[in-house]
Amino acid sequence: VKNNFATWPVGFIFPMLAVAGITGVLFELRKGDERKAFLASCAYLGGMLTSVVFGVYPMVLPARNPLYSLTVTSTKAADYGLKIGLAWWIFGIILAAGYFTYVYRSFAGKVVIDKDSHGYGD
Amino acid sequence: MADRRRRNIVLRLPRAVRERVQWLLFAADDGSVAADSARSVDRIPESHQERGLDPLWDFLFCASSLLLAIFFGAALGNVVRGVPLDASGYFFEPLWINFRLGDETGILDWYTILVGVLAMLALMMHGGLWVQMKTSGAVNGRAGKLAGRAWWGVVALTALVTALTFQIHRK
Repeated sequence: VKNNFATWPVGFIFPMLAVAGITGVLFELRKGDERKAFLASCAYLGGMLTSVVFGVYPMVLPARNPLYSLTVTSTKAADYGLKIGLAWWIFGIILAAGYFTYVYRSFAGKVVIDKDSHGYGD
Repeated sequence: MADRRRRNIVLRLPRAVRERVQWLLFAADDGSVAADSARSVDRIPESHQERGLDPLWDFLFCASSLLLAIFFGAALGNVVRGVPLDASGYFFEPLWINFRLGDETGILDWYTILVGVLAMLALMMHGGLWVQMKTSGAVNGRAGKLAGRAWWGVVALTALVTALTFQIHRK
């Protein structure tokens, strides 16, 4: 883990994102900005997860015996499969992004609690 | 008669747990939520009060969500700590052995449980902030307070787990 951060210092951006995020949560909570507090929490979670990925790279699943660890190169699919996968992924992620944009816009704003609102936003 | 008694026990246990959880989470609100559980019912819309099984579903939903967050975290902890892969690229791990970090490890040991608790607190904070953003009134206030309380645990455990992770990888 330490080696990766020493070799590529640019990777410090990930733990720094996590620290900025968690600090931002308290700061924005005290300020009363609910949206920014939530976004800061997103930054914390994103920073923590990317720090882990960066720290264990090139391993994707470390073994107790380092000889048997699964690495990016030892687990990757054949080049042809990766190319086809990337093409479908681009198509799929555009569909998924569109779907989530639609859903979250439909439920945008604060939830109104009354008999007929069914949880839709303002 | 026996059926009714059995059903009462099944319903009473979740209600007791729910009231305890409410007390833990919301006692600071006005100091009287747990003392008078009828008052907490007042906050629920009338259409929901008629549902007799609500406490059971509340309990199951709450317990399974908490366990899910802990186990997701424990799974991440396993990835960071390393799993007993052999030369064939496969591994088997029991759920736990003795909760220690030795040569033989289980899915759950003190390190992965700690990562699991961190994940639970982080998601509790994150969920609290989301609910706060999406609601108004009393729920908004309680969600914000819950997120604020979870924040302290997240900070403490993030520092602890980070230090332990470097130590484990050095070994």
